[in-house]
Amino acid sequence: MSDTPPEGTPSAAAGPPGEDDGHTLAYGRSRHHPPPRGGPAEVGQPAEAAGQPPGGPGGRSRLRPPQRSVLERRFARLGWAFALPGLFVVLAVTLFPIVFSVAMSLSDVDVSAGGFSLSGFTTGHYGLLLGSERWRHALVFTVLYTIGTVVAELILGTLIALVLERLGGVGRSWMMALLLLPWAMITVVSAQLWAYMYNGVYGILTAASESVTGEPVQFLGTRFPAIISMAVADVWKTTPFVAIIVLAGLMMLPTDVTEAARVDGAGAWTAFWRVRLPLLRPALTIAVLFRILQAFGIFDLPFVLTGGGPGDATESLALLGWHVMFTNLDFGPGAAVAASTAALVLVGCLLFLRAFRSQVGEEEAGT
Amino acid sequence: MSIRRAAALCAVPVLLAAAACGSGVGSATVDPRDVGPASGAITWYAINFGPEGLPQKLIDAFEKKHPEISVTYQAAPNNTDTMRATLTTEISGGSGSIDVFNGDLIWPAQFGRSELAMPLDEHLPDDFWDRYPEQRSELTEYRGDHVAAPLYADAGFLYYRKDLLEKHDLPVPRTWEELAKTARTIQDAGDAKYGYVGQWANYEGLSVNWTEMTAAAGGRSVSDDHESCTMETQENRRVLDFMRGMLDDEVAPSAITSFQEPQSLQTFVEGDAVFHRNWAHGFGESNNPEISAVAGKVGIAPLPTFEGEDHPGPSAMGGWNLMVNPHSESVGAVLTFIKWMTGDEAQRMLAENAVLPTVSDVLNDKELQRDDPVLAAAAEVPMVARPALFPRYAQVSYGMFTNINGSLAGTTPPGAALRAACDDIERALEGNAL
Repeated sequence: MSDTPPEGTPSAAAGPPGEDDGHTLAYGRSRHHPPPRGGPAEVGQPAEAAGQPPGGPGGRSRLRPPQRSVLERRFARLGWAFALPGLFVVLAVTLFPIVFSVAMSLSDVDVSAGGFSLSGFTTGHYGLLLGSERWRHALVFTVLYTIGTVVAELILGTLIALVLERLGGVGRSWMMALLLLPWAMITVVSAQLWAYMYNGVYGILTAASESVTGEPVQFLGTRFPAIISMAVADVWKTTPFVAIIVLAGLMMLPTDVTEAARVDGAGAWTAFWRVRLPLLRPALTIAVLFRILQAFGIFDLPFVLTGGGPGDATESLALLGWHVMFTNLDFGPGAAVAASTAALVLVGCLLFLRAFRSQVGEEEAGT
Repeated sequence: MSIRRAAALCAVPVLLAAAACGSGVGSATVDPRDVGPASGAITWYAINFGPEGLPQKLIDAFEKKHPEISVTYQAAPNNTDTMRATLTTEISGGSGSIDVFNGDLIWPAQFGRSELAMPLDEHLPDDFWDRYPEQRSELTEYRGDHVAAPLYADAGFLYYRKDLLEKHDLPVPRTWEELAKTARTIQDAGDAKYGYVGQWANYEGLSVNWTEMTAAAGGRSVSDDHESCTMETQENRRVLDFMRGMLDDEVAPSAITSFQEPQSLQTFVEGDAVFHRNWAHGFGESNNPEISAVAGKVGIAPLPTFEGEDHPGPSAMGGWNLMVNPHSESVGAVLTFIKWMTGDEAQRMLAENAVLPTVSDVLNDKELQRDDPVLAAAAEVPMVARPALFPRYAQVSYGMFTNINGSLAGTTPPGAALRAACDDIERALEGNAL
């Protein structure tokens, strides 16, 4: 993580020491008076932080074990003691199930009246996945669906955020409240509402499509319309989330940068595209990461809207896992689907972060 | 395990008590295992069935007869798959909070394999099963042991618009071909938007519709010994082509590929379809003026067959069984409950409330049949069972409905769909999870 952009970037010499990676980086660099920053360990040692040479070395110095006073060590111990009960809860409700399902995916599972019994070690369940066309199909669908919806949400969300930013005042508060309605609604409920609208005979959208084209569109009954219809329901629900995050990013942007761009003769488009959007990247990253994590595990929409159909057109990995686990009661393979999905999304997110960082690094190196 | 041991420890006093009460279970060849006293409180977990409040009515009648047992009804989510998931989690987690539950007719083999339901043969007399038609009793077996006791039955019927057939002076169709033609005539006259609606969505219901239609044409999806897939036959191809033909001719609405029971019923009760395939409840609901625009105009008939085959076409067996949670600590009381629920009094209550009974005597009761045309029809129609005696039936069914639905939606040509279905089904038959 510490091998990211700051090292060797020319602007770093002029800016503050590049200790941060990620979000605050872009903000910090663009400000005239950077706020004091640094991890908790450094808070008590402004002298050391200030004494660091700027740029690259700053990143390395973080790896040295910090010198702590007795008081600090005591505080640290106290902190652990306070956190311990909470950590146990996390261990019990988060880590244990994860570890257990990974263990399940790697052994022969018998579900019986006495509970689950795991025996032996096998990678057979994963082999089964790789050889299964149904799994590959679900994987391709999930990946494409994730990319498609996240891109759409990102574009729409950013546009909405820009409008909201301009709106200001009471209007903005009202609009935000309105916008958050779909996001606040439970997905199963909103999916049911969409199902009514898409209903092949009495759905309002079906009727609307009939009056426009003369032929009713079968939103859920045929392959591609079903995929698109599901994506629309998803975009409708989650775009507000992206908009709020991006709006928060926009509000934190310093106005002087835009002003400076204007003074230098940049038009509205250039100022947005070349100045504000790059500065917005941290906010966009957060939005995209959250959305990828959610979209990749999509379950409720296909469950309510299509049941994975027509055929297997909208069967996502999560839905497949549920089918294998709770309809077929094949717990080993089901756990393998779940664990591999989690692993894939984790890898996907890391790759995304990495690509994002290196891109930022390159651009900053080039400026 | 610990429950068995505990049960064994309690054995002596309870056996003595049972002998003293004289409430033995009759002519079992194996001595009934000790099951605890036939008293106390039990919980019954079931999807609501019949008219509002029927489960509670049954409980009230039961408690009147057996005041020493109190039953709590716990409503299950109104979706078979969700209910199965809940039960699996609860029972495999060792919970005994549910004592007895309603289980779908297609569950016994799967639940038997996973030990999610208690085998009943050692607790119930051998002649217990004589009360059911043989086919229904067989469907509750896993490896020669009954793991469920049929509670209520269901069957598919053809509902039709009496008024429209009369208007056009057409008879109730006896074959699917005739049905399509009749429907087309009435549609062309502008009297109905659609000809036929059934359940062709991507779910278990399509396997039911498919099983009925292929059985009428003389086809089947899996061989009797569960060894091989028999999807790719001329008979099945004929059925699939016919179904696609109904869509092409717009006898069936193109939306039918997303229809489950509620959607097809809605289309029918709105007066938009001439013919409708549904379960037994379809009759009462489409003749209920509160929810139906065609109340009083709906007739019931056995399902059609295909030209050149025996009439009528068979109905798929549906319905729900009572199953016992292996962790239940009140098995004695549960067994009493099961015996009463599958006995004459409860089964009659079901029949009087438009729920089909499973017990032969009540099903064939002429007096009851006179009052209820559905019951009369149910006693007459031949039945076909889905290949559910096989623990991996859920997967077999997925192979059927997904590929048939894909073909009906126009994604895959019929030949390729049947082949793909066989690929899926054979993987299940070979015991592969995916």
